[in-house]
Amino acid sequence: MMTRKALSRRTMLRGVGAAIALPAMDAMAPAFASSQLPGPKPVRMAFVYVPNGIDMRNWTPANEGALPAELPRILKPLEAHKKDITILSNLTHNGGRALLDGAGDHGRCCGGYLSGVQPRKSFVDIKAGVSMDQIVANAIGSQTRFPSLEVGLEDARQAGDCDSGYSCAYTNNLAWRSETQALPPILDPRALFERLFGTGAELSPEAKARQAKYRRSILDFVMGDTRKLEANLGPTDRRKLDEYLSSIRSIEQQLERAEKDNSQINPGMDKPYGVPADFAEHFKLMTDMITVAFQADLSRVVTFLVTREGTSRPYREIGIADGHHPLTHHMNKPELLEKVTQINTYHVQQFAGWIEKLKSAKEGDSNLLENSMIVYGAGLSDGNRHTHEDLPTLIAGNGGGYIKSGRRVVARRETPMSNLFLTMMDRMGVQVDHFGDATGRLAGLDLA
Amino acid sequence: MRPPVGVHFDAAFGDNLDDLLALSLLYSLDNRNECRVIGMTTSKDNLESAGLYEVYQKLYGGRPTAIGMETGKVRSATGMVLKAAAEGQATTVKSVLDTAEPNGLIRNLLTANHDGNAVIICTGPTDNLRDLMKLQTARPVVAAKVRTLYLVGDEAKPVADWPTPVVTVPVPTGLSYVAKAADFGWNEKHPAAQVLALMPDAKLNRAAMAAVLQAVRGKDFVVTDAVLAELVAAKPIPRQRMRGFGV
Repeated sequence: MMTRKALSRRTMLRGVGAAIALPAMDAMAPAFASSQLPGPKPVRMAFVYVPNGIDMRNWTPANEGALPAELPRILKPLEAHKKDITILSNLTHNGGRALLDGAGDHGRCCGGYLSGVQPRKSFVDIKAGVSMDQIVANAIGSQTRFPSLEVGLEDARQAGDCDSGYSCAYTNNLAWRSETQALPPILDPRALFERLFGTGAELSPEAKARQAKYRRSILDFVMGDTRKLEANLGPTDRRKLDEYLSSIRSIEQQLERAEKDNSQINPGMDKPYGVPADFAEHFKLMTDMITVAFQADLSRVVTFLVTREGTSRPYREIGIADGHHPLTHHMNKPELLEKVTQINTYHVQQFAGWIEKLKSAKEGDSNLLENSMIVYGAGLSDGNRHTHEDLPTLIAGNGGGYIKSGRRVVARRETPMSNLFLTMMDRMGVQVDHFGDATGRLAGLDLA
Repeated sequence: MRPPVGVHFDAAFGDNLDDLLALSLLYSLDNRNECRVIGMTTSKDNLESAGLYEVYQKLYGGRPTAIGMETGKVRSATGMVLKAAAEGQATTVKSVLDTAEPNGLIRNLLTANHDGNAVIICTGPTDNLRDLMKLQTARPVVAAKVRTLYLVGDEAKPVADWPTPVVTVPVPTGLSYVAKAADFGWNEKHPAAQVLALMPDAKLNRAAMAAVLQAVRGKDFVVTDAVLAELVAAKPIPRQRMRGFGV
C-alpha cells in the first residue's frame, strides 16, 4: 500500500535567506487540489508575438481540418509537434486598421493586440485597453507568486514616437494593466532569473560575506535544505526535484556563459541588444525560465514580445544584414520575400524548441504543453500591405484537454481576434461577458 | 475634407429584381464619386446570394470588403431571380467561411467612417440590423456614424432602439421605369441583365431605387424615370478613388 506525504504548496527551499519555489510535485496534490482551479491541473497561457507580419503564402496550410503531412515552409520546424498545434485562420483586429487615423499600423496592431481596441494616436497622451492577459492575471493571479510575467528580447523604450505618431509604449509592450499603463517586458535574462528565483539581496551581512567568500550560486545555498526535503520525498518527487534543480543550474550556467561570450564580442557599434548577443540563445534562456515558472506554478500568464513591433533588427545570425521591417516592404520582389520567409522560419524554429521543452516536462499523466495554451502570432498579416485580417495565429497545447489540436480551424472572415480571447479566458477560469470588439466565443477549438 | 457619404447595403439579395437594380444604381453613383459603397450584407443564408454581391464588387471596381451573410437557414431558398442572376458567375464565395458575420462586419465597416457620414439602406428583412443592435460595442458606433437608416417598402419592419433617424421609403408612385437586358449591353453577364433576359416582364416596385437616390442625393431629390434610365444601367466609369477612406 502506498501512502503519500503531503507538502504544502507554499513549501519553499530556504537557504541562508534565498528562496526558490518548488515544481508542482505529486506530494503537493492535496494542497493543489484544494485550490480554485478549473481542472485537475492549472492551465497556463502565453502569447508569443512576432513583429512585421508573416509571409502568409508560406504559413497557411492549404486545407482546413487535419494538418497535412508536410507543413508549409515557415511552420516546418513545428512538424514534429503537428499534433500539438492548432492553426487559426481569418481572425481579425479591426482596431489595427487606420479607421481615419492614417499611418501607424505597427503602433496600432501591437498596442491593441491583446485588448481588441484601437489605441489612441499619440506619443504623449497614450490610451489603449486592459489586455486580456491582465484580466486573467487579476482574476487568478493570487494563486501564483507572479500574477503575470512580461518578457521580451528587444527594445523596451516606453516613450517617444515609434510609428507615425504612435508612442513606443504601443510598439514595445503587449500587456496593459490599465488603459494608460503598459507593463514593459523584462529583456535581461538575469533580471528575469532574479525576479523568478530571488536576488540574494535580502541576505544577512554574514550570509553575504559567506556568499562572497565561496562564490557559490544561489542554488548552493539551498542544497542543505534540499537534502532534508529529499528525505521526505518519494522516488518520483525526488526525481522531479532533481530535474527542477538541474534546470535552474543549467539556466544559471547559460547566463554565465552568455555574459562571458558577450564580453568577447566586438559588434563594431553601440550595443543594441541585451544579454546575450545571440538571438537564439536569448530566446532559449527566456523560454527556459518561463518553462520553469510554469512548472513551479510561479505564474500562469505570460506575454512574450519576441522583438518590438516595427523592428528593423537585422538577423546576421542567419546571414541577413537587412533590417526586418524594411524587408517586409518587399514589393513582392522574390529576393526580399525570401529573406522575410527565412526570418519568419527562424522565429518559428526558436518557438519549436520551446514547445519541445514544454512537451517534455511531465505533469502527472500529461505534460506541461497539454495543460497550456501558447499562442504564437503577429498583429499584422501581410507586412507589405499592412493588413489586419487573417492574422497569422497558432495555438500550441491543449489548454488542459480542451483544444483538439493537429488541425487548421478556419473562422468566418472578419471574426474578431477578441472572440479567441474570450474563449481562452473561459479556459483560464475567467468568465467575462464582453471583451474588446468580440462578437462571441470562437467556435470550433474543441471539435475534433 | 470629408469623403462622399458611405452607404451600407443590406438586402435579402437575389430575392427580387428591384434589389439588383438598386445596387446597380448605387454603384453608378459610387462610380461618380457621389457616394461610397462601404459594405454589403445579405439576410439570406445562401452562398449564391453572398457570391452575387462579390460579382457586383468586381464588376464595378468596388472596395474588396468581406460580404456579410446571415446564417441559420433563414430565407435560404434560391429563387428564380437569384438563380438567373448567379448563373455562370465567377465568385470566390464557396463556403460560409468566405463570408462574414453581418453584425460584426457592419460595425467594423462603420468604424472607418467620419461621424454622421454613413447611411444604411435595408431593402428587405431587418434581421441583420437587429443582430447588430444586440452587439454591445455596436450601438455607440451606429449612433456616431450612421446619419440615417433607410428602410424600404410599405411593410418594412422597424429596428427597435435604433439610435439615429429612420426613414421608411414607400413604393413610389408615378414612375414607370423599366429596365431591359439590352441596357446592360456593356456586359451581358451583368446579373440584372441575365435576369431581364430570362424574365423581361419581371415586376418592379422601384422603392429600393428611390431609397438609394434619397440616401445619396437627399430627401428632396425628385426621382424620375429619366434619372433611373440614365444611372441604373450605366457603364462603370474608371475613376480615381479618393484614397484613405473606408476599410
